[in-house]
Amino acid sequence: MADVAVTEAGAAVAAAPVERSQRWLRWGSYALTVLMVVIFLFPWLWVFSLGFKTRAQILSPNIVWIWKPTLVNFQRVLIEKGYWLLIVNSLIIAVATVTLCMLIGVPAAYAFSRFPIPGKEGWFYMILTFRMAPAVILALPLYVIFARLRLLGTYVAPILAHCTFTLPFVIWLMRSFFEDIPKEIDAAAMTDGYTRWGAFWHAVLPLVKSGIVAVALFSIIFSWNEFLYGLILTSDQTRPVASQIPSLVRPHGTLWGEVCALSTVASLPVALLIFALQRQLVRGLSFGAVKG
Amino acid sequence: MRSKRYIVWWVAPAGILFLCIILVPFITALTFSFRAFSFTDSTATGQFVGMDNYRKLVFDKDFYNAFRVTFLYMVPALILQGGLGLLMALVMSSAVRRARILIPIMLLPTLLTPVVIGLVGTLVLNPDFGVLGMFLYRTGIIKETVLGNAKWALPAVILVDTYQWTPFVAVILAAGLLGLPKEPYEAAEVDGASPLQTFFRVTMPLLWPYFVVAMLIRTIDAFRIFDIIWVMTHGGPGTATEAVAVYAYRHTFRYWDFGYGSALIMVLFVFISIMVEYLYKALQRWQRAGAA
Repeated sequence: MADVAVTEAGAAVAAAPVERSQRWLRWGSYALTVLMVVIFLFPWLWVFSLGFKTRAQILSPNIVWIWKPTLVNFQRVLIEKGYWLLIVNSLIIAVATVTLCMLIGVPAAYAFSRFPIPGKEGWFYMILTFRMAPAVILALPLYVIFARLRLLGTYVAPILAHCTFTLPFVIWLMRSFFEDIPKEIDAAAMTDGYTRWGAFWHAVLPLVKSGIVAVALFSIIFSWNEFLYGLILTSDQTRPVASQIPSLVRPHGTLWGEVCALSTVASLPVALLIFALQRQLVRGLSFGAVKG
Repeated sequence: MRSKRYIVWWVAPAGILFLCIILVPFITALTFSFRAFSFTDSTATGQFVGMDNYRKLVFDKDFYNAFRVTFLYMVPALILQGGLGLLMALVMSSAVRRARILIPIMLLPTLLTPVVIGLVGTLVLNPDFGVLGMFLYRTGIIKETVLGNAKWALPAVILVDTYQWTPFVAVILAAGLLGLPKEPYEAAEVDGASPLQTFFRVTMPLLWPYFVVAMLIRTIDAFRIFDIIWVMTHGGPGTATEAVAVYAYRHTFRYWDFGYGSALIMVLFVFISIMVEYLYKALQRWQRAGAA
């Protein structure tokens, strides 16, 4: 496949004849790699480990390197305090948001790519602007509107609020993926007897499958991570986990073990997703610039 | 060829959602900005006061402080993230097999909840048991909690933000580096260019569109930053880390002054849309460069 070819090309460039200065560069970059792995892995492992320590072990002035891991924090925070519900809420909100936005965003993106739509550039500029605007901008009016509609504290409010950044994201990225597919494919399908929708569904959509996965993945992650809307639009029953964590951090007397345990559980799904789907991630992050 | 009515079906659902959750709230906020509106009674709309809120804005020194804090955070952050990101990208792209393992690990900070990242930062800087905090405290560099210190709180935020987003910049640049054409490099080698010359004369100009896009995104993101600051310092001590989004939050959801808050939001929005215009043009140039 093409991106394998590209990466081979990159490796070929790197394997150029080794002069003295280049060998030095290679050792340097090797060391840097190790350094980067340590820097980016260590904090997590540390916080992860704190979740398994008792309060005394965390606060002790000497770093406890070897200890007997305990599940006390997890038990207290998830079960006794019932915070497992927060994780479920995050899941509900993320899945609902992304499903909704994909269902209506992907056809819209296709339309933007294939059909002449008046003011297309203007629409995209607006889509991008709202994607990049801080949540605070829409949080205020949405709060008032949902309050008047008596939707505060339900799932509807945070789901719709999350759509404000998910829908633009989906349309923006999917359109660029559709643009990569030559219009001849649509035309060929339609001369074969498919309707426009048929061509979309049967001919084009399968070609952008990895793009769809990448976009859906990122959207779920962004929704899962969202803090502000989840904080102000929800009640204690419907709050997602990311919005609850800061309130557990107090100026004095924070229960660090429990906070770390909760953060670990909240981060685990995303971490697993990242490892399971690396390739789609890189494509999605670079906006499909790596052609393949 | 296709009738206009037909196209509508493709975009209508997205258009309606966009209208309801983005445009309507936005216009609502606009109308609020011209009213004196204190959200103590959810049905009141306040009275029309014309430009009063905007006038108040001009004389509010915290408003200017918010912009000052944001710029003080943005400039070092951009320099660090751009420089380090480039360095990391060069390391990653020089050995593609390494990149496959590196990228998921490095992306952890970018893709995890900013709230958890802020938490990790708080913990690392904790003078009692945090890795960095203990070091700073015991060597006497910083005699109290870093985050409670007006001078060091913002650098701490910059550090944590850089930790989270440098991998993002690095991945975009690495994707660019991996997709660069071979010919210029072969030509440079034939001409006997040193690695440094090759870097500045060949790599940088080709990489420039990617660089611009990544930097512009981070610039706009600087005006959005909220979660990290909130969980680490709540904007304090005092207003030392109160970036614009945090400042807007304080006036809308702490003081419940929705009229003033709306005016704030509108000003912020104008700012952001100007920057997005640059981003938009840069993205178009980037698409064209990628297609070449």
